[in-house]
Amino acid sequence: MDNTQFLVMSALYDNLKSYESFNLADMSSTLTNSRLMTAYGFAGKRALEKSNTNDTSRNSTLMNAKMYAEIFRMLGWIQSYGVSSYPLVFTYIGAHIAELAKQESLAVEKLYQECVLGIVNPNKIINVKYTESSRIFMYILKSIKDLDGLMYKHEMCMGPMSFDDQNDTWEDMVHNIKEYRENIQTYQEFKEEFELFSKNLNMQPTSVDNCTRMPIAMIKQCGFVEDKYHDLYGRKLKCLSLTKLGESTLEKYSTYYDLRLREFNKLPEDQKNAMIRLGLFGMFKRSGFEVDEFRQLLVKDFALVEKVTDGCEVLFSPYQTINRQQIDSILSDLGLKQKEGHGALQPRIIKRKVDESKDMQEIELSDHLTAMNLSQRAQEIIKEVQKLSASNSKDEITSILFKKYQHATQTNFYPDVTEMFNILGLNCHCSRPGDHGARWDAIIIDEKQSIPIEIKSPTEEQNMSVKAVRQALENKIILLSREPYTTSRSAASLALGYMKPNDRAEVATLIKAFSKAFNLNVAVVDFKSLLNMVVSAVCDNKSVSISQLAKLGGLTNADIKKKE
Amino acid sequence: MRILKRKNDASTRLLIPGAQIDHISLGAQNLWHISGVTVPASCMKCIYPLCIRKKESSNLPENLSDFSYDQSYFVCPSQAINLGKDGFPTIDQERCISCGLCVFNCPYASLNFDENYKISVNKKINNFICEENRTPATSEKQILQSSTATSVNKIGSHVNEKELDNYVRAVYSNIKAYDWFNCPEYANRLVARLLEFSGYDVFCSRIGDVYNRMDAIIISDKGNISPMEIEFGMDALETIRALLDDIAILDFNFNCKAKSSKPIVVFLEMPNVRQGYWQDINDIHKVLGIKIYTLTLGVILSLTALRIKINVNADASYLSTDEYRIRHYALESILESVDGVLEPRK
Repeated sequence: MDNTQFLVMSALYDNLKSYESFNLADMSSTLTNSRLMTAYGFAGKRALEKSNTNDTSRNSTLMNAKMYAEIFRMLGWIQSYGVSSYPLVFTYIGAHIAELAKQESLAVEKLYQECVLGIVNPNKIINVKYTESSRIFMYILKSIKDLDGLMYKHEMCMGPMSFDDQNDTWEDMVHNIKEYRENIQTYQEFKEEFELFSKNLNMQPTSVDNCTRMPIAMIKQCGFVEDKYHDLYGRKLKCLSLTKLGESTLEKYSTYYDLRLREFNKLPEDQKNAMIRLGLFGMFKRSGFEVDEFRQLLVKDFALVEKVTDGCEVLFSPYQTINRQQIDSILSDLGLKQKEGHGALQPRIIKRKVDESKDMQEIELSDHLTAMNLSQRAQEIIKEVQKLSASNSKDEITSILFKKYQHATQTNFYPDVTEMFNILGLNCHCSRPGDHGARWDAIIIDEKQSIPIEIKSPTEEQNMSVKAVRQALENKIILLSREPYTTSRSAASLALGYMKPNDRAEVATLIKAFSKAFNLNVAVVDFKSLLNMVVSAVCDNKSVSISQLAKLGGLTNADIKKKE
Repeated sequence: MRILKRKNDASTRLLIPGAQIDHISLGAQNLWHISGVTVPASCMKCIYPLCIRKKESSNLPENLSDFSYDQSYFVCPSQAINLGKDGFPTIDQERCISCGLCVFNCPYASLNFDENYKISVNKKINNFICEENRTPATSEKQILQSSTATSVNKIGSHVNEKELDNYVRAVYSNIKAYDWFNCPEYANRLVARLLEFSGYDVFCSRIGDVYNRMDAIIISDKGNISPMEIEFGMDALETIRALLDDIAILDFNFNCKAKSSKPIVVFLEMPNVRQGYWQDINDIHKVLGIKIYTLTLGVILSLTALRIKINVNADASYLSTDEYRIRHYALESILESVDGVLEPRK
């Protein structure tokens, strides 16, 4: 099974099994060193350094480790060491998953299926807000079967994922879904029902939809379901359909005694121990492990609880229902697990990361604006700024114009950006659409250092990304190679977009990389900075020189306040 | 902690004492030659099945110690081959693209193509094979069995020269037919596994790693580290941009000098001559002094099937507006009928 979670579990176990307990920092250190987790393009120590922040909720490697920790907790592969959530220990089941993950594919599959079917609520392991009593994956499989072999993901939310076996009736739940299918004719109507359902949960429909991702991934991973398109609610929808394995699993496990926490708590101590052994070794036996050495003991256990189970096999995953102490004690008595000693956790010291995004170059304006032969469109822009200046400050003018262009397409944005550079006293030309020789969107022409410009309108991308930077580099290479205009190697290539990049560190790194590798400079200018410069030009007769632009590199900024 | 043992239902196979395979003839029916006797090749139920699970990669060089890569150990890019309960490999024909990686990898040549390039496993027993109950993988016998197997001499090619067109066409047809193959990880793994036959170490990026944008890095036996982009779609220009990004990041983050880079692009089909891709190759060479090498999957498949070592940085793979056609002695007059593999479509 080529599955990252098994590789992760295997790596964690191999590296951390000798510790009495481990924490998220241990996990992230292990996974980055194993290259199973990265941050900012790095594995290893550099991944840890770059992700380290004061606010741990923004530490990507720690949070990634936390994600794995909680999924593995849900699957019964790890549990808390003590009373609080962390630190953690591996469970006996988790150790077997880790060992199997190193072997060929089928080995881990069966035990994984047992763990998925073992997910149950309520339990003593996970603190959740929802109160439904449910063995969720059995209910999902059963509901697909009862809904004529097909179920849509939103029906799953409204059906088995909301079913409480203590308060709801199975037949009513199935009947409700069937009624939707019979009475709702269009997808729009169904969507409205789903939105109402989400509203009643105080959740957004998207969030409710997102809740289906993990369960669907898990049952697909188990091979219990497959996708099938079916006409539902007036549309062809991707539905879940039971595979032969799903059907046979449902049939088989439906005959088992489904032991829940509330029943377990009512049992006398000897029967509790018996149930733990039957549940745990049942999982192992069904996954193809040799448990014959415990046969005599299990036969006794089976007889001890026969009146409770009615002679049926037990469906009970102890590590996913109760705290590990009682389970581990039983395993110790059987010689399968050592009693816990006292060992120290090894702290990991991680360096603080350097915030590269603060490294922004200011665009300086000069005082002398050369009168240019401006186009009609440029003059319209100037008049608009002048009109706004009658009752607005310069900052306000910029904000108004910035908002005005919020939904601008290439058709308007590219020519207006070009004209704005002209207003600044430069000789800027917009490329003709379809001119493959001019890969750039615009170019500032100069005798010695022409500057190509890659423009991204707000409808193409709101925040500039590495895409624009790459294209700016390409523009420069083409200009240097084909020489339609004169330029120098050192002159910058501009990338102009509506807003600054979301991930400034990523863009800044790429620009530095281009500079180091190729000795070519890319400068990123955001639209607000351009507007600031234009407003300064119109109101204060400021300009920007070609040499100033040519010297730019990296993330840039032009701020009105600083010029007053 | 004592780990429980698993029950082993399937028995493993060994050669009888004294039997040694002299060599294996590859062809439509792969044949073992043992002491003058010829028998059809048969699956040996290897404890470490090389048709499923690849050998461990070499370690990355020191300067790439922080480089993250795909840890998948599957040979098959689409994971179509798995062990059945009987211990033999089974192939999911709905996921198999007929690339033949499992066929090429099997040390016993026990997997074959049929006339439609469907792959099957030959399970027949012969007088030289004995069955025995599986013992734990640490058993010396199984380790010896596996290590001996990898050194058996093979003669011939996996696909007949005259059949190369049909073979490549079958793989291409499957790739295009399966929507799910559009996922980059499959294409990347396919190319990576094929190039490993030619002695390259190829490390594909981890899927989902948004900060590592490169498809793969390829390390030659001389230690040269270069990025590789694999593009089975139509976006040739974006591929060039991605490659420049890769070269720069390898230089900046991992100290792999851009000037020493010999980057490679692998297409499904060559970009059209009118596409800006070819002019860009010229521009990049002129301005940056970097040659970008262009290959297609069809060429890689063909040479691997013919068991000819590929040199990804050969002159024959440096294509530009001056020369669009991949020139390789083994492929002359072959693959002509498969459009876009040796040169752009006319």
